[in-house]
Amino acid sequence: MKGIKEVLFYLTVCVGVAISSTSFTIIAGLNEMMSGGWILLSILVGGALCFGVARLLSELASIYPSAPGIRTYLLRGFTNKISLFFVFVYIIFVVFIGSVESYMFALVVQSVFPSIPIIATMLILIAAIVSVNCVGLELPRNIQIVATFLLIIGILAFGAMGIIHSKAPLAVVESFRNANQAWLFPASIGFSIFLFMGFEWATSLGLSSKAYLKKIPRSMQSAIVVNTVVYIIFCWGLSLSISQKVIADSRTPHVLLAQFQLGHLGLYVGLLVSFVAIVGTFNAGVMGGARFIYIVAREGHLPPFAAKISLKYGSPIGAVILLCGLVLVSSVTVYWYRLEIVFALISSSIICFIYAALVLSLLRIKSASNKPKINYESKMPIWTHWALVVVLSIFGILTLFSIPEVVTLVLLGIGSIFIFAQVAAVWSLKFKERNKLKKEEGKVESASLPITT
Amino acid sequence: MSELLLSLQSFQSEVNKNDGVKKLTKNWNPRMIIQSSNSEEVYTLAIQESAISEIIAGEVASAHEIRIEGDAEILRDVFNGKTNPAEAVLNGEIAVYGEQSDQIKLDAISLVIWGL
Repeated sequence: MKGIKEVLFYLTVCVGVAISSTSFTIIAGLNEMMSGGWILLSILVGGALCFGVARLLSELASIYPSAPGIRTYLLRGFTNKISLFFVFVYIIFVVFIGSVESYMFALVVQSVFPSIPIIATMLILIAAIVSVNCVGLELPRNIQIVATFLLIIGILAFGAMGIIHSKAPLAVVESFRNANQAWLFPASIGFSIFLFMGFEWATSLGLSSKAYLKKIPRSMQSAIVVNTVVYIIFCWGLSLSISQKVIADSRTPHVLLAQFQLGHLGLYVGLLVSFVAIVGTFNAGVMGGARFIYIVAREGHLPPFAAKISLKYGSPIGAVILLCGLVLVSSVTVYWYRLEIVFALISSSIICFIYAALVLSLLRIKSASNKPKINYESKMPIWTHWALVVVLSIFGILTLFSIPEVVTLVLLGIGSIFIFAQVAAVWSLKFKERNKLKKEEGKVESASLPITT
Repeated sequence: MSELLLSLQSFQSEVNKNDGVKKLTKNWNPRMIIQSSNSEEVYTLAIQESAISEIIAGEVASAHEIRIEGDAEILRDVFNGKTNPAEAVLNGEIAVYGEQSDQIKLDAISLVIWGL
């Protein structure tokens, strides 16, 4: 692949995964907490923190190029159990994102075609994703690059139109006079960090060892800058066009803004934006979760079913079916109990903790006596590493308390996830050990055998 | 003849006689470049018509390629079926560069041949 096209590929993966339908739900959630300028500042701070994380992740990626991301990075910095704990938390995070994505997309579809039930759209979407991934179909790179650029231009255009058509574009700064919102500002950062989630996927996509020296680090950092600009322009235009209350009550503010500017046609444009966003997120992000399940299963930490491969298509059908099955159950739960904001809050908090754990892992790797060779130097002083660990952890905790109406549910949810991940990590270690013993005793022929479809 | 080359020849033989791998590699024709990071050894495995048709000393570039890099000893154990390639990647002992689907297909070959 030519140099520029390769960089565009990494860049569009990072940008495409981050701009999801869930991002717009998060923006609605931010509007539940605060307004105008505070939201823009929150996005700016979230972007700056992610920029720092991206530079440090580039160091980890240069030490372990092509490795399966957090599984390896945390395994090298901590114990196998801690690494597995975070992998299970990450898989649940991916399931949550998938379910909120499918629900949000179904909401947008229903706003355009009211007769289509939400549950039907979710079922069709998930069935289509399972089918496409089981037969190993991949979105061609050129289409992915063009689609992501159109998505960026579309969202920027909505925001810019809102700003241009406003009589007082600087009215957003008036929100800074509201001291009550200042108290909520720290709790909003975790939400904003979520808006950039997904840039880390590029770390396992390198097409050569050289890609980890410049192309991938620069792509991740550029993606964060691009997304910061896109989100700020969009939220700026949104807050000038539609009242905070209406945005907060909506789960699809991009459709609201499109409709405000283009009338009925805006509904279709909003649907198109949602479609491109969901394709990007599912294509690289959610289905990347299947890769984690497959890898952990191949290690022997999950039942052999999760490592099943289709001989005909060479695709990890076990992991795809398992992941999509979990997404389906989770989607129905979100739809049934209207838990999208709860799931989004939990996901935002989880991603803060995971980024903090990755930075801490890098610190431990760097301080080890047999420190490996780091091929990309972020040139960030060690104190900034510690600052990121502390700040991300604090913002992760604060996010849980950011919307008072759902605090109990959010705390119950994240508590359950951590308990589940801990139990799963302990169980998976024992599962592998037990299978190893059985194998040595000749009671099982192999850990897993592929199936033919 | 180096131990790495011997293990690659053994791998070629296992691949070419396995019906499951034939099905898996149908219409899949990449070049696999195996590069040792602690010696000068580089080999290119050409996959054609569901078989490894030849092992070429040196690097033969191709539009569709998978590159595997690591210490010669680890590569030897991976291509002998002594080390689970998925675990070697996970531990950072080898690096595999290429399309995600190609990486999974490659891993699937080891699963079919050795059940690893």
